[in-house]
Amino acid sequence: MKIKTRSEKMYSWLLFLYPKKYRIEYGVLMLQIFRDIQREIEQRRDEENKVLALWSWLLGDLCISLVQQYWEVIKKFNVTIHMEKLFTPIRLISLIGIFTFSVFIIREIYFKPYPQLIPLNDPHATYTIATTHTGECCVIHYATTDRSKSMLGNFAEIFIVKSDIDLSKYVGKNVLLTGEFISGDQSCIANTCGKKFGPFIGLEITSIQEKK
Amino acid sequence: MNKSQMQLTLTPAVFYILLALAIKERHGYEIMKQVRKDSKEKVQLGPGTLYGAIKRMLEEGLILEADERPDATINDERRKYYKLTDLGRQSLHTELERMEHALEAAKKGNVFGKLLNPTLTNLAI
Repeated sequence: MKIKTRSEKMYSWLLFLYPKKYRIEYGVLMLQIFRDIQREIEQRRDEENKVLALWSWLLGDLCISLVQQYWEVIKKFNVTIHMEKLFTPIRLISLIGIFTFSVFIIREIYFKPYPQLIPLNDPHATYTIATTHTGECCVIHYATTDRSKSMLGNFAEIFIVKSDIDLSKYVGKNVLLTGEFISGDQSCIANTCGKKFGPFIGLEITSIQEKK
Repeated sequence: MNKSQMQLTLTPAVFYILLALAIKERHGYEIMKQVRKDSKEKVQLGPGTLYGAIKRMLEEGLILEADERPDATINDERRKYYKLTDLGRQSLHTELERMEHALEAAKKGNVFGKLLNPTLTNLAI
């Protein structure tokens, strides 16, 4: 099979990580599918970074299937005899490298803390301090007029607040905030009417002033 | 593993591959797309996981290679097609039947309603 693109070349190298028997039997077919997926992703107009989208998904698939295939080989043969042949230093280093790279890519893509949120210093955004039923302070954020900065549209959001500053005097007022968004852990659960909601996205406020 | 045990241990990937092949013979990429569609994108197989599952299914006798022929809809590359065996067909049938019975039982007991509104379960108790 003729290799056409750089991504394809890279994938064909990665196929060498699979056990030999599996690679001989399915390597060409897998490369064929890779080519189809590549073509499909290229046709999608909505995808911003097509190469990253392709590789983030494929590396996950590669890791899972490599573990599966080696596990099957180990199950079938006498492990003590074949272990050395199976995990040559180059193969082992490559496996660790791919695993680390995959974890990094997946973390970057899926666990980046709320990249869609509007920055706190956005002049178009409106933040108002309010209280929940239990008297805790929270921040209500109303949609920004600058749509390009938000994927959230016209909806208001509520953030549970974590701060050393006394926020009670700002209740009901529009404010300017500095601080950062924190992930929705147990500290960001609102206790309203005896029922727990959330976890919400939290805000850790470092400074606050009334918006005039 | 005997046949009856195998019929009860279909993984989601194996189940959806069997389902895709129940309609017609397909090659790898077609199977992948059909699985994605049938599972409403909940099961997304990549090249590695797809052929891993296909290899196991071939070994277990659930599917077999049909033939190799070009697919004119994508390009003229020759592709390997797969089809269900009698055991594969029987396994899928058993699994679908099991699901149908479970669904009927759930509908009879209004399980869906109770799952959506837990207070109904408490009242029933």
